[in-house]
Amino acid sequence: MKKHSFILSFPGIFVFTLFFWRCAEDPIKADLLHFSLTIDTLSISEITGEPYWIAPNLGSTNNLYLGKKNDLDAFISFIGFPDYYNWAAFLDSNSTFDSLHFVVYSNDSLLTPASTPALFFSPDSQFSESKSTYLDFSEFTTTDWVNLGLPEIKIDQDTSGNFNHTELIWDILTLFDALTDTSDSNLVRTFVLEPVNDDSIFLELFSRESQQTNNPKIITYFRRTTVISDDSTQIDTITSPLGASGDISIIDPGDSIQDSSFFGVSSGFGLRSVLSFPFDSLSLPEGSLIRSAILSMPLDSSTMINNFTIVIDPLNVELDTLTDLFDTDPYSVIGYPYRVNSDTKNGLLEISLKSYLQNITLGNVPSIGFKILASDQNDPFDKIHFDLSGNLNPGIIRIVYASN
Amino acid sequence: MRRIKFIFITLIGLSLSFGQGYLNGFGFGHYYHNQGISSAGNGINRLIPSFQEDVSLLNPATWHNLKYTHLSVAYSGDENSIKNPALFNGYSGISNAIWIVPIKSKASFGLSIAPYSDQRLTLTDPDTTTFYAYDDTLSIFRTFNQNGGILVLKVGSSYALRDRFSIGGSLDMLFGSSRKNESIFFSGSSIIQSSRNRYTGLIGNAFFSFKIQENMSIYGGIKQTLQPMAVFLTNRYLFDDANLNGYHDFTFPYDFPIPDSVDAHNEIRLEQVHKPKGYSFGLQATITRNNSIAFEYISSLDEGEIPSKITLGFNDWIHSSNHASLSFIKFPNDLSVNWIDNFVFRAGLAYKTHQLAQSEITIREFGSALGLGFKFKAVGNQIDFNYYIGNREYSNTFQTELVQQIQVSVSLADLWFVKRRQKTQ
Repeated sequence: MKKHSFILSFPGIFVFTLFFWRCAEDPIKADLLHFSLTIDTLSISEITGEPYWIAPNLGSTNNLYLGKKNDLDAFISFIGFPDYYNWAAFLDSNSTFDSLHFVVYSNDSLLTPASTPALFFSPDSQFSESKSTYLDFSEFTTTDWVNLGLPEIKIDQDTSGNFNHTELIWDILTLFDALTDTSDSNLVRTFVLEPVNDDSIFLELFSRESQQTNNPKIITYFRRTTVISDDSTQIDTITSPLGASGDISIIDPGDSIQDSSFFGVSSGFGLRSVLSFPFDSLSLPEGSLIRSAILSMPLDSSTMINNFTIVIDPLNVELDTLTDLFDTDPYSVIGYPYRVNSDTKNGLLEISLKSYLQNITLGNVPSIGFKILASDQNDPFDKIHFDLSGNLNPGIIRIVYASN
Repeated sequence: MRRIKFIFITLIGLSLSFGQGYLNGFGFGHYYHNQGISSAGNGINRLIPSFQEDVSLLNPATWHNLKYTHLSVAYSGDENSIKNPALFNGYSGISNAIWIVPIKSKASFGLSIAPYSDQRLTLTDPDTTTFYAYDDTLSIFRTFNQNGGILVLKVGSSYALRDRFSIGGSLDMLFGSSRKNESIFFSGSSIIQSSRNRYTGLIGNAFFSFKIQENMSIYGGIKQTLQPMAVFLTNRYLFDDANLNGYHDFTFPYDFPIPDSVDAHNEIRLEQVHKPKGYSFGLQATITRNNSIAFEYISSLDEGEIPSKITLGFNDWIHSSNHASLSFIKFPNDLSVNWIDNFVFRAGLAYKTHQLAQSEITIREFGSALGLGFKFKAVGNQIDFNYYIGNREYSNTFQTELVQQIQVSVSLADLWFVKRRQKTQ
């Protein structure tokens, strides 16, 4: 009797058919215009901006500044070193210090001794990188500080002779005892750079927030003697950089004009603004989803700067005040994840407020307004003014949304 | 051997070309009783006994005629194909599961669970619309996708009032849920409106069976909604499907807004969206021993109204349906010892019309079914195969659909609830 395989038997056919049954889903083409999901737009042009001024703090800029520019006076820069370095280790009798250098770096290849600042040291003068302003140093003087004089200038070039950077080097071996004083529990290691001729120079130095290798530092050069055996001693020559833990330029805005008719931003001038426009949870149909919400603000023709980074952060508390001049910023903001930033381009700032506006419609966040400020990465001596009433290109928020 | 190969190739062909049809887009989807046959064991008939002699699995008034308790499960593969443009859609799944307990040939009790409507549907708008938003021209592409459906749990019973007259009834509990995604695609991602429907309803059915003569019986039934179907509609918040996966989730790149920043809207209850009623009757005449012919007519009307809050694939639903069928059934000869006489043969023609509620479009379907069953073992286990092919036409511009269905059912019979004598050691 001929034997059939299972697949050719009736049960086999049944199992095979069920296994290979194709479930296909070819979409059917049909007119779907009866669907209620639609797209629409909303334009908001009633935008207002109110400027206010605070004492500028430049603790997180990429550069340290010294000198005068655009009516601002960067009269001192502080550089501090932390206590967490093992300073006591330098007192090891096996180590012999050859030199101790304080080094800052500049991108200026034409620096001359006349345009360099003087360095001062104090073991008990404190500053706050995030809070100090010129108001804290109105009576500041270096009279009681240790004057370390002017630096030696060293131009650093690569092997092809191309300029890398300029090093400003101070020999601070005389401060060895002061820096390694373990008996002073309140010891702070603060240095100050002060322009010698503050009417004529303007100097930019790399801060600790800039390139990691060109940050302000103390470089120690010493020899360490290690006895290996009775008749053998090893001497290592060691170079050890100690990076600064804080630095800040103190800028005095002096009598710079504080004109409330100009709404804008500048970190050096301490200029910030509050932006308002009519938008609340009822501005869009219930359940709407914002696809895009672009705030577009033209710059005033007198302050056309490209690639100027502007930060917008929603306010979380309403402030009822008629004052526009403050020591510290009184406007509290929400920050992450609604803080946004964008660069100016072709005389225009365009920035997306989609996420925050959507959450206003959802009732998750308040609709109070926005704080506008300049990013710390900009040149603090630059200033931007907005012209919301521009005839060709007025300030506007363009919202594209879908609703059902 | 050659015959087996032929059947094998034919079934593979069917399996590869075997769904979603236009009917899935109307109202609450495609009612299973409108797609081919409901159970392979019953063929094209519903009221008329064609499972076994005097027994229809879908007519409770005949259940007590079963000799043993039956558990029957039917599996169905459906295909809907449209010629131009060429569309093939197919799906398969359990189409009916029923458990019937006859009680001393006088009464019966039965439970059944079956799909009631299939809402699997994917629609795309052939036309891309444009929207001018400031300086941009947005090309908008619409799609609609839904899945899920409604199930029905039937609880039925029958009672023989006289030798020739019996009655039956069933309560159909409708339940289930479906999910819909309505989306508009533009600028690289879709904005999707998701919603979920939950269904609940109760339909009552009453049946009778009357043997007019020894060789002729009539059957009838009425259907009445006891609790019109209600929909619990939950609309989800719109979201921008940045990761293009169709779900509002945390997969990078993150959808907007992030899922935990939004709440679903409150569930709303929409009443009386499906309220069917109807009647049916059938006549069966035995022409020779074990051979019979039958005529059946079913009419139903949906008095429900679907509010605009419920998004429908096609903005319409079936308001009324009529179904007429003519069939031939050859039952097994229980007295024969020849295995050939254990086969059940069913063939029939069906004509169906449906009228849509809003557009009053008429849908006509002409179909035929061919089925074969094999009864085995003394208790009457049965395997049934059934193939249905139909041509469905729409009175408006819709294309013609070719409807195909292949069903397989397995029915196992046994004595239940009988105290058996224990074997003595």
